[in-house]
Amino acid sequence: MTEKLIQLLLADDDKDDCDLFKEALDELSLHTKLEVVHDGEQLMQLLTNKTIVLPRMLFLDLNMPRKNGFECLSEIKQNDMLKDLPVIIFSTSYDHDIVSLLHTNGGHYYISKPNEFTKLKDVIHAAVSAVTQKGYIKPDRDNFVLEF
Amino acid sequence: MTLEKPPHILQFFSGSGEMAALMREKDWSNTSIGDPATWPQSLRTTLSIVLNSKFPMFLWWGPELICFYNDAYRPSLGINGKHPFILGIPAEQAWPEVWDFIKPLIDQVLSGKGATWHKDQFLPIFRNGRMEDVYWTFSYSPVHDESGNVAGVLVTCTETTDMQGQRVFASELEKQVKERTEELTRLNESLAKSEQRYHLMVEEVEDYAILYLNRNGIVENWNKGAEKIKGYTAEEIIGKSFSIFYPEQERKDRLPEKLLQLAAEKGKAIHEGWRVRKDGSLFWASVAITAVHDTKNNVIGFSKVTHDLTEKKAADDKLKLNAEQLEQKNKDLQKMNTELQSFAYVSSHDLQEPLRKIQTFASRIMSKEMQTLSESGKDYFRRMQEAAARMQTLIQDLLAYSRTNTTDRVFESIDLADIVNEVKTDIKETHAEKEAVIEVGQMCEINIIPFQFRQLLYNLIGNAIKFSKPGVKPHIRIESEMVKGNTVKKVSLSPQKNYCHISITDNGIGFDPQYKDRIFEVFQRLHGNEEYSGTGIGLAIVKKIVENHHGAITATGELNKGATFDIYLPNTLPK
Repeated sequence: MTEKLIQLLLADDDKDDCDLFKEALDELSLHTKLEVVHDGEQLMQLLTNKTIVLPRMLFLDLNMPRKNGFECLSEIKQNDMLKDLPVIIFSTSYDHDIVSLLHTNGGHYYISKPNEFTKLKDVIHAAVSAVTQKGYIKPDRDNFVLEF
Repeated sequence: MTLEKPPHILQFFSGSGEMAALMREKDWSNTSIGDPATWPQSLRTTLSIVLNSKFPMFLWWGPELICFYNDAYRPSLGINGKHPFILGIPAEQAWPEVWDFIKPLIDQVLSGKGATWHKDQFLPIFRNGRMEDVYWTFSYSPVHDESGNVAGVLVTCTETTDMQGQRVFASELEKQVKERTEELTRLNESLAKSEQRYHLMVEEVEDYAILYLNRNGIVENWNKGAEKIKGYTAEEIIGKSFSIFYPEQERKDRLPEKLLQLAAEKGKAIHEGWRVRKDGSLFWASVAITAVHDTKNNVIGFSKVTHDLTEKKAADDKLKLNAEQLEQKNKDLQKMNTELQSFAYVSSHDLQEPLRKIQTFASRIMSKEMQTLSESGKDYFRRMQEAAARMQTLIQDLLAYSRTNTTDRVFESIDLADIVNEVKTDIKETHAEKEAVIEVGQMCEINIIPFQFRQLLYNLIGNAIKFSKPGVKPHIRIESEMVKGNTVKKVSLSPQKNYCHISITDNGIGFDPQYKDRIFEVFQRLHGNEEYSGTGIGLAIVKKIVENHHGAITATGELNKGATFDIYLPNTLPK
């Protein structure tokens, strides 16, 4: 394959979810490379480290220790260097109002963590494809939530 | 015309008086007694007596009772009256106004029954141009002629009107004085009675202590109420200072003196507080001290009215305590409610996490390790997944239920048709296999919390599809109309308010009417999981949402004959 690997970053403190994410990616063979951080502070340190190349997209869990996903999203969108990074919210909860707030705050897509592995694969595939195909253009509220 | 009569004949009216002159001048030939020269001696003699007397006299003579009178009588006729025309005319013509009275008297004398006598007789006559009230003392006496018959009636009289007037005045005065005296006596008695009544009244009042204090606060008067409330008899307390009723601390703080001072300055002092009875026990008193002033506006003392409010105070205190307790309880409940809501939210949220793992890993095993599992192993796995799925539904419903409490309620004016069609489309996709027919009738525009109302419709339409009869395609009809509160019979609404009545009717399995209220309670389910799965939260959420909209909901149904849900939401849209 001559295609360049798509750099993915996952911020999630849940080890199970991280493992499942990796397994799903492995089975999807999307030519991706995944890096994982386990809390918000670690995430922000990594992103603001000028020596690294920014990932193509970020999968962001909301419920994380030290600095949660909301704070990270705000910081990213207020940082000129980072504000164009597509952030895909990857969370257990689904609350209509919170989802709207995340869209307003600059989230790219919203994924409610599925309870079936096949669905997990599908939704990750959809997110990666959408971002790689549509680029940095943010979808409107109606197309914000990715569901299967 | 003056007729020169021979003096020897007319000697009887030769005097110098007015009446004598008038008699001389008069032409008597036209009268029934004829010319004086023909008058009998008896008449002449009588006239001589009459005309020469200084006592008022009057004479009626002859069958016609011709009138004569002397100078002394003349003033009684006044002016503009009978004088002088009655001289020489018959009595009946001269005295028509009193004829009824005097005729019988004259007749009495003429018939030989002797003289009459009247003292201060009231006999009004015409004189001075009008009828005047006149009093007379008089006697009618017979005058005999030469043959011994009564030929005339001599009246000797005196007018007593002036005397009578004085007498009347005196008696009137006396009468008035007497009346005034009586009136004063009555007034006095009534005053005395009123004062007595007042005293008795004050004395007998039992619910209020009413006492009189002198300028220095010494008790001078004591009623029954005071005795009853404070325990002292009048003998025990009169002459003592009223400060004895105050607890020690208040006495030290000089409260009694301060209250008197205030009453003296402002006219009145009102106070509520504890007071001491004779036996040392306390009572809660409401006191009004009013200054009493003399005519020069100096304070001469105080009236003091005390009411025992111990019972009221106790009741008030209890009420206050109850209110405080209630408030505390409310706060506790509110806190508990908030805790419960956040618990429901957090737990349902956090519970989803491990549940999702169970499901996801189970799905991994099912797909990757399927071959290595025995048939029973696969069965156990399937059942495990089903249980996990049920648990997930339960958690999601709980989450939705808690959200109906916590989320900000933002009302928006919305056409119901939009929201109904939105839900209809969604639900038809998720329940495509049921091939449900959802008929949407007329819709209103209404003020609602959109996301909650969407949830309500999901639950109700979802139920209608879920509880359909096996083998019968679900048919659901949704319609709404504006109704006035007083036209609704199913539930009690504000009569004058307008409501949007939304009805959702289905052809499903219905329910036993006895459960029409219970189906709205949390975890109330009418069916086992084998028949119809569910968490028993759906309708509780619906009810809560209706309540959040200040509306009402009823369920009507019969087993196997479908169900209807009627929702009434108050129309809060401006007209």
